[in-house]
Parts: sequence; structure tokens; C-alpha cells
Amino acid sequence: MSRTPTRLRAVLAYALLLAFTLVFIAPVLFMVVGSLKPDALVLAEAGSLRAFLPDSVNPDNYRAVFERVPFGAYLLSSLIVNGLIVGLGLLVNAFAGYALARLRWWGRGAMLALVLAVLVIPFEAIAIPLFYQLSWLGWRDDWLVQAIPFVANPLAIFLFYSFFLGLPRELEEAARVDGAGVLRTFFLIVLPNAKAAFASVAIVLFLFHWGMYLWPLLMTTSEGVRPLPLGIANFYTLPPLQWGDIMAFGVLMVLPVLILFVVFQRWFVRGVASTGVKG
Amino acid sequence: MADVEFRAVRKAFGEHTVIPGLDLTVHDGELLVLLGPSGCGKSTLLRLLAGLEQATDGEIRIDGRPVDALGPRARNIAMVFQNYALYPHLTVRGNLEFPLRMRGMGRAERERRMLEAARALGLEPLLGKRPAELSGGQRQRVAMGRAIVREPDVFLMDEPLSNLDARLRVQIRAEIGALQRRLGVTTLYVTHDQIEAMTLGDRVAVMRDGVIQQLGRPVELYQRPANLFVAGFLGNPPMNLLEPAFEWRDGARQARLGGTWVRLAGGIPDQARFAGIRPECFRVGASGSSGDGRQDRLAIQGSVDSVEVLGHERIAYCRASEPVVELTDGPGPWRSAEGLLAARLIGSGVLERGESVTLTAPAAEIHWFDEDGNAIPTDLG
Repeated sequence: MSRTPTRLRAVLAYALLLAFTLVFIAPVLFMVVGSLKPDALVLAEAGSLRAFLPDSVNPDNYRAVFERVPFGAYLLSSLIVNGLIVGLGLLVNAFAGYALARLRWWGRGAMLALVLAVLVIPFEAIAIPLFYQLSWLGWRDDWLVQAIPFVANPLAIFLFYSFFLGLPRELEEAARVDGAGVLRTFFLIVLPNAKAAFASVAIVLFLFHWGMYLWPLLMTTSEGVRPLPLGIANFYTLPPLQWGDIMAFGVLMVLPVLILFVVFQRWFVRGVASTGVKG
Repeated sequence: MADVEFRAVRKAFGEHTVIPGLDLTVHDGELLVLLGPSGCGKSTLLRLLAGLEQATDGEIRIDGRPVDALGPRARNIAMVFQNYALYPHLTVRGNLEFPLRMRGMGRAERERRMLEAARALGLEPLLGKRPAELSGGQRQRVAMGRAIVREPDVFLMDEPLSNLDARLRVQIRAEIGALQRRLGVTTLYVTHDQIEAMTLGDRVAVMRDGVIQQLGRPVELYQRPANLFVAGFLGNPPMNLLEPAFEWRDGARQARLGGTWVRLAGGIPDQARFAGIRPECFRVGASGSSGDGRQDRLAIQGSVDSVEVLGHERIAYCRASEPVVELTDGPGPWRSAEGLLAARLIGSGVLERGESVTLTAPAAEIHWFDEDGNAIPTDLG
């Protein structure tokens, strides 16, 4: 009796999920398929279902990407800048989150409120003042200047703060009684038990900045230090406008993000499951 | 090994005072139990000694040395936490070695001490395992091992058995007692479980609202509770408390308990207001029996409300003709209410629910308490 409505509900639910999945995956599919098509067909078939069905696997667009622009240099810049942001960002934001969550100091509450307030300020609002400030210092056109302003990130601080609040305090107290100071407690006890938070923040920072366009555009002039988003923009100014090349560049640009996600995704789904603290 | 002294120690969190001012000395090699209900300040006291909290006022000394300005590391104490606080990412070996590594001990000495502790606690087969792979009892042993491995001056144990099941609790309790006696390390043990306190403690400090209500050997506390709080807190079921009527009769102050006027040879003290009787002091007889007219026995009529059969003994709860005093959470005045009297009966026998009975007890077994709930010495009688 009750099986039919249950099954019907399941079918409807899956249909809805499938529809949403298609909506979200369509642009990605369009990009991947488009990257494998002769340039002329990319726009010609854009209005039909054929846009999502490759006729043949044609690597010409990929070859063109490497021939027309210094893709390797862009990729290297992006990896270095994002590596700096993620690497330094994990350290700085974890320290800040830990200080807010665990250490007792004057003005802690106000600082936490400030961090939360800064969350809602868009980068575009401070980009120009920051540009003038750094130009005045004569600091332009290198990898560091693209990374340093983004190392401290209020969202990352907040994520760490929330995670550290949830970590059993007794672990740190046990470490202190066992003879560890604040730094050793952080590095030897807190950090190894916060892998999930570190992975989440790493992905957040990486995703936020992998596609960063405005800041590198303002701060860089040399091709050698420009990241991938500026590289892809070249195709719009380098005649002829080849959509197949742009799609191929897009696919190559997305790959590192996908790899990162695949490597770290288990940390997303797995919290601190194995804890020595009961209750 | 060392003496531990708390001198006029006060601890407040903002406006809220947890410990209003406490003096306590724990002797070298002694196991002192801090016993009290949740929120009485016993864990705070432990944390003050560990250096995890700073006292608002007063002084703490370990082996005669003031330690208030020292961090936990410099105090050479070891602590066993309620939830064990084992490092989840380290193996048992890593957990045991951690305090030694933090003290910069060389590898060979570290290995020797770690193996010694592991051997003492039967942890050798578990050295390669992580805490998540261990049972509750094994985790508890690892926590103990981490405490003993660096041979501290003082052990602190914060309700270390409360996460174990009843059977394991008894076993580990005995192990902790044996280990402490063997090592002879001064130990402060916090619990709200009176059985742990009675069985483990060389001395027990019963705490309430940050104040030590009574400090003494377990048997002293049980036999001569200093006040109504201690009387009600120790013993299961707790001491029965009654509020009798007092009268001067035949030249002596007598108390009317049930149907009898009870008198003591030396007279009932003037200040006495409450009478306390331990459940095991009662004898349960058929209804209508009395103290045989003797004034050195009390006899209270009642009816059986329920009987708990515990195997070797039974606890009979009787609805009494007398109002029974109930302890409230706050300080006095104590509330008299229609309540139940508990009687502990050894051996077999049949008591039916609703059966009318007479509870009798020797007057000399009565504990007397004054208006404020403080005990009045009973050797008067």
C-alpha cells in the first residue's frame, strides 16, 4: 500500500536532483566538449543539444593554447601565487583563529567582531586604495604582491575559529600539563587534529584566488608573473577570436582545481572521527 | 613526592566566586579525595593546582615552594582527565612518550620509562594502537600511564572513572588504589561518587559551594558527619533526618520520635533540632511493637512504601508517621515534609508493600544537629 507513494516520491526526488545536476553541469560540459571541436562548430552548435556531444576528439585547440600564449608561464605564476596564498594563509589564519578561540587577551571580542565585519567588504571596494598604497611603496609586478594582500582571510579565520572552538579543550590542557608551551601545543596537538579544517580552508583559499583577475591586472605588467586568468583574457585581444582555444584554456585552467578537490575531498566528508576524547 | 598546601585560596570568575577562601594541606604520599556535587568547586581546585587556572587570591605550595607564578610545565604534576584526553593522532607509545619528549629526555631513557609504565599497566600489546582503537578501560590505563611515566611530584585525577561502566569502574578503581600505594605519589582525586571516595581516599574532603564541609578519614566522615550536608551526601541511601518535638520531662530534655519520648543519659543537647539515623541502624518489626517502653530506643510507626532487593540486603522505604527532613540544594532552613524513611535490612524476609511496620533504633545511634545543620557531638549519650 505505502510502497507506491514512497517509490513515486523517490522517483520525483531523483528527477529533480537530475534536473539540477544538468543545469549546473551544462556549462562545464559545454566547455569540455567545445574544447574538442573545430572552432567553427563551437558557436554554430551552441544553440542545440549537439553542443554537448563531441563529434570527434580533436586536440588542435589544446595545441593552439600552448602555441599562442605562454601557458606554462601563466600556470607557474598561478601555482606560485596560489601556493603562497594557501601556504602562508593556512599558517596565519590558523594562528589568528586559534588566538581568537583559545587564548585570553584584551580586545579579543572586539577583534572577532571586526573579523566578522570585514567578511562582508568586497575586495573591489579596497582594490584601488590598496593599489595606490602598494604603488606608493613601489611594490608591483611580482608574485608576492599578488599573494600577500590575500594571505589573511576573514572567512578562513572564522572557519579555523569555529573548528578550534569545537576541539576538546582537554587535549590542549593535557599537553600543557605534560609540559608543552602554547606553540608546541599548537603544532604538536592542535594542528594534527585539525586536518579537516586545514583542508577546507586550503580549498576555500585556493578556489577564491585561482580565478582572481582584477588584482593581478592592476599589479602586473610582465607576462612572466601574470596568472592564468590574465592569460585567458589574452585570447579576447589576440585576433582571431578562437572560442575553441578559449574552451581548451578553460579546461586546462580548471584541472588543477579538480585535482586539488579530488585529493582533499576525503577531509571534507571526514571530520575528526577518530578522537581519543570520549563523550 | 611532595606536600601540597592551599593557603586562603580564592577563585572567582568575574563576579561569580567559586571558591571563597580555602585552606587545605595534602600530605606527602597521601591520596586525598575531593568529594562533592557538581559545581562545588572541586575540579576548579584541581585546575588551580595544575596551573590551568590562576587563583584570584591566596597561595598554593608544592613541597613548600609557591607555584602560583609557575606554568603547568614547571609544577611537575600529572593529570588524568575525565575524558582521558588522549592525543588521538598519536599511538599509545606516542601518548606515553609525549610528556617525556616535552621535557627533552633522550631517546634511550624515554624508551626505558615508557616501557616501564606500559609494563606496569599491561599496555605493552597496545603500544602501536591509536586511542580510537582502544576500549574505555584501555584508554583509562593509557591516561594513567601517561601520568606515571614521568614520575611527577603530584597526581591529579579529575573523575577518572566516570566514563567507565560499573563493572570496569570497580576493577580500575582497585588498580588506581594499588598503583598509588605502590608509587606513593601525593594524589588529589576528584569525584562525586561517594563509593570511590570511601574506598580510595586516605582522607576525604567533602565540598559544597567551594567550602570544605568536612575533612577526615572516610570512616570518620561516615560515622561522625560534621553537618547535615555531609550526613546527607555520604551513605546510600543517605542518613534519615527527622525533626522531633523537644520537651523537658522528668528533669531532662527529651525528643519525641514516633510514639516514644527519647532521652539520653547525658540529656539531649539544648541546641539539638534535627535527629539523624543511618538506614542500617533501623530494625523493622511488626506494627504495634515499640521500643518496649524504653526511652533509650525510638520507635516510629510506618507503612512499607517499596522494597529494593539488592541480593545480600534489602532497602525498605517506609512512609512514616513523622515528618521527614529533606535536604535542599541551598543552605538551610531544611524542609520538613511527608517523606520516606529508609531502612537497610540484611538477610532474607518478606516485607509486603503497604504492610504496617515499626522502625526501631537505639537512641545512642542518633546523630543530633543544631538549627544551622551542624552536628552536635553524640558522645554525650
